[in-house]
Amino acid sequence: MTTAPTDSILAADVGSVTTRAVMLDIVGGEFRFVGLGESRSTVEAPFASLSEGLRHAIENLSAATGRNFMDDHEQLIMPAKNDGTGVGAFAATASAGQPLRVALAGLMPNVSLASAERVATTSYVKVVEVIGLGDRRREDQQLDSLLNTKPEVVILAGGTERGSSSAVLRLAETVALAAALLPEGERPVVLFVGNTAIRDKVSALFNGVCDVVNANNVRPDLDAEDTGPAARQLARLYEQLRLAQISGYGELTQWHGGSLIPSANAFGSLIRFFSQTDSAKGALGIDLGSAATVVAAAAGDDLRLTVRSDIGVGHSAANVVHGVPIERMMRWLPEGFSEDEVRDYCYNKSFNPAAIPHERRELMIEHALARQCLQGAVNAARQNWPPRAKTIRPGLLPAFQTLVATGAVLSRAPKPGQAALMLLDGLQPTGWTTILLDQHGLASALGAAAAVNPIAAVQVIKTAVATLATTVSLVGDARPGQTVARVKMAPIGGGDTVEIKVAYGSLQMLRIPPDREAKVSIQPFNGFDAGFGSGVSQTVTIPASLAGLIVDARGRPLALPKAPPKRLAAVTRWLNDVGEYGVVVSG
Amino acid sequence: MYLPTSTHILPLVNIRCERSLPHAGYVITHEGARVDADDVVAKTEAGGRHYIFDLARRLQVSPAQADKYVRAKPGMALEQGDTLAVRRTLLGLSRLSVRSPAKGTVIEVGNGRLLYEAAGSVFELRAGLSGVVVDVIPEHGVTIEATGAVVQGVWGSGRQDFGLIKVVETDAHAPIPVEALDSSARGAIVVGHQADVALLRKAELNKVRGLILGSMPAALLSMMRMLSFPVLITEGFGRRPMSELAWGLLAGNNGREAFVDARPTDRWNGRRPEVIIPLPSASSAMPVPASGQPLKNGQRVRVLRAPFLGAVGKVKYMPPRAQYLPSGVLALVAQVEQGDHTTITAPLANLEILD
Repeated sequence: MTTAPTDSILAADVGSVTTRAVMLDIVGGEFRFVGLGESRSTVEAPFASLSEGLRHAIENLSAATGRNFMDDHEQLIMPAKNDGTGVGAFAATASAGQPLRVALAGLMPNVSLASAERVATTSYVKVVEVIGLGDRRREDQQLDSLLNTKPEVVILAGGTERGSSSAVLRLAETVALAAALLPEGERPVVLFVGNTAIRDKVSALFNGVCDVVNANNVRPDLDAEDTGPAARQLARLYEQLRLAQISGYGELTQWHGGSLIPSANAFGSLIRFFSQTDSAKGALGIDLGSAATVVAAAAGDDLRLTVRSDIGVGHSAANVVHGVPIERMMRWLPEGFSEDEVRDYCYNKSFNPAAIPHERRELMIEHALARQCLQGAVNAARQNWPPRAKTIRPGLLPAFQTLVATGAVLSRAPKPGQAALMLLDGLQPTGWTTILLDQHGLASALGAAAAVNPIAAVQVIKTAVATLATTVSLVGDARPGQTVARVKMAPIGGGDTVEIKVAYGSLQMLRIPPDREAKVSIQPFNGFDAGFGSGVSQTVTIPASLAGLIVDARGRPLALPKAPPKRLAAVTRWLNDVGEYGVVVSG
Repeated sequence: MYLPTSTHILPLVNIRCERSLPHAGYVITHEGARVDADDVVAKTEAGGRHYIFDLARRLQVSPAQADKYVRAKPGMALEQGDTLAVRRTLLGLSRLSVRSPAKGTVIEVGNGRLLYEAAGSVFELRAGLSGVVVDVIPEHGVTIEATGAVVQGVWGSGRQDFGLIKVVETDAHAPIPVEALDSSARGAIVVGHQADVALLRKAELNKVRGLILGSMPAALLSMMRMLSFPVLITEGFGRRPMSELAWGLLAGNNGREAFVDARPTDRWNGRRPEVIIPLPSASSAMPVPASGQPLKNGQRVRVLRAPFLGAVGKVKYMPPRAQYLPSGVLALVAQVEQGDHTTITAPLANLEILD
């Protein structure tokens, strides 16, 4: 891998729809984001190569910055030359490529299998089969199921340290039998994350059949879980079995001098950085992509990564509505949309994932789709919050201090309030949150750059993301319309002071003059919690932001009015007040 | 530079069609052979189910003892009811036996257990279209070359079949009326603009061999996948007519034989659902144009999203700066001149090359 010191870095992220090339350079003694070049990704047919799209992105970056990065042979000029061409270092991440097909094998559904599942959710995988002691199928049925689903990786878990061995070995025998029956070249890699005392016996069972990779026992004890090492092994397997198979990978790693990092892991590293440096109450990262949605939750240096490879606003849009009541999408839309229209939109989006909303009507459907993706992803992450991340009430999203959001549907939203509202509705944060928006889609690329030069990533991220909004989401119970808090906001350095009474069920946006911080006092009533404790008042200074301060008193979990006319009225009000969608109310 | 997707709707080209088995088998034709649509070109046996017999328990002995009662050896092919293992008890007056549950093969014996694989069903791969075998992929299939027309679709129900094209001329903005699908549709590849549940049921009853439509509501996807014939959609989901280009090509070949490959889009290998109509060619036909070309002025494109959904025209100009769309989204756009010389502006991201 290329190592520091470097004075310029070219970082790239190969996504399923877009490939981005980002230039970081020293300006005024600090690394700064200098330019961005984008291209449509070319991992899929007819190109089936990641280098074509990357070259186009670098060409576009050259056009934007006036700096030449490639030589006459279309090779990256590295290190940089005195004539100003080339770069000091190169780093890359990728999320393009099919998810790995993974089977889970473990003993108890709520113990080792649950831990194996949590390992699986940390990477771009599709779980195609689950076998375990709770499985009522006969062994030969499990065998046929493994043969039919042809997993590329089997995560084999079970047995605490000094715990069960025979049951795990019986399970391993079934997996070994299936692997042996598959043709060579189609056999899985076994990731053994069970009782370490039987590693040798497990390896012996698969000897001559398929490869076995070991990682720490994910359940060393019934009450303890250690998924980190297994997750890192799975990320390596994703790189070896998937990314390395994409044409152009070899060339890229030559430029890079190291491996290509899965985008989710790079994004996770960045969120951990925020958590370590800025957020006493932890940081939450959301990468809402076309094919996958990533949730990275960090408290201190404890990072929990959840990748939903089946949820996204482009390639995976059809999955969001397939087999799911369409009402879940409809609830986010005002009057005048039909179920067929919304469903058809999502399926068409899957086939044309790069297409963008031309008209406001389609924009609203796309934003409803984004809300559903966010909700689905955060529900999957719910079982895996860092223990140090504190929740105001059980079952709610922990009160993360910082939320970092990336994804084209958010950064391309015409109004800042629209992006903020998608995040509020989809994630339902609690307490006091600063929302940062990755406007240029740099997050994953910066995660990769951090591997080359951590200081560069640290310096750039502060200037490359925009503060979208500060939100205060009140938690408590009241009747609709009942006053639950009083908020006073005074822009620092002049401007009108605003004071409002907050009614339960309301959502209000208080704008702050551009580039101005504000002092905000919040006084919750009736046991409501604004993130500082039940009924505890607080005054804080909030940063300048695109959307201002948003006070969300709609309740947690957010319960939309049940009666359709009331729901439509409430949703329309929120869309217009915060999102500025300009929905015309009939009648 | 923008790299759009592309869709082929071509009246006469050189087609190379790969026909492959779902898993390894054997090819029964050879390079250079001329094949008709219904010729079998390869065969395979679908993997049968497996049985694991706990011989020790069934024979009431220890696992170590069980192996000596096994009568069938690994690799032995057996018929249903053949003895796998037997143990005489009560001084030979009674016996405990384990018999094969179906025709199949013994895979493995050991530790008191026996693994048995039942024989699967035979799958025959037909050529699907008339042409010449230009390549044999050992154990997997063939590539057939022919000249003809190609219409690529957006979605396919998964099946493949061939038959004579029957174009049903009805209102392009409404589902084909059930009465329009008479007995003459039996065994035909029916071409229409739209369909509903009643039409799909009638098509199943009339035993059509395929259905090519402009659009269908996504709510009917599950039903379409259950049909015994392939369904191919050319435009997308919703309620809209087939494009004039695709309709004109299919209608112009009414009564000819067509192969409908409605296997779903595979974005990794580039496979698209498509209709192939083999046609005799007096002169040498052109090859299918390469996909993945950057968008240029003068190229024919189709708009993929509202408000100009389905509009076809030629790229007239691509402004270098991004513009705000009515949705408020900032995007690079192209001006597209339609056939009637009117010009529309659409984001580059919503265009596909139509060739």
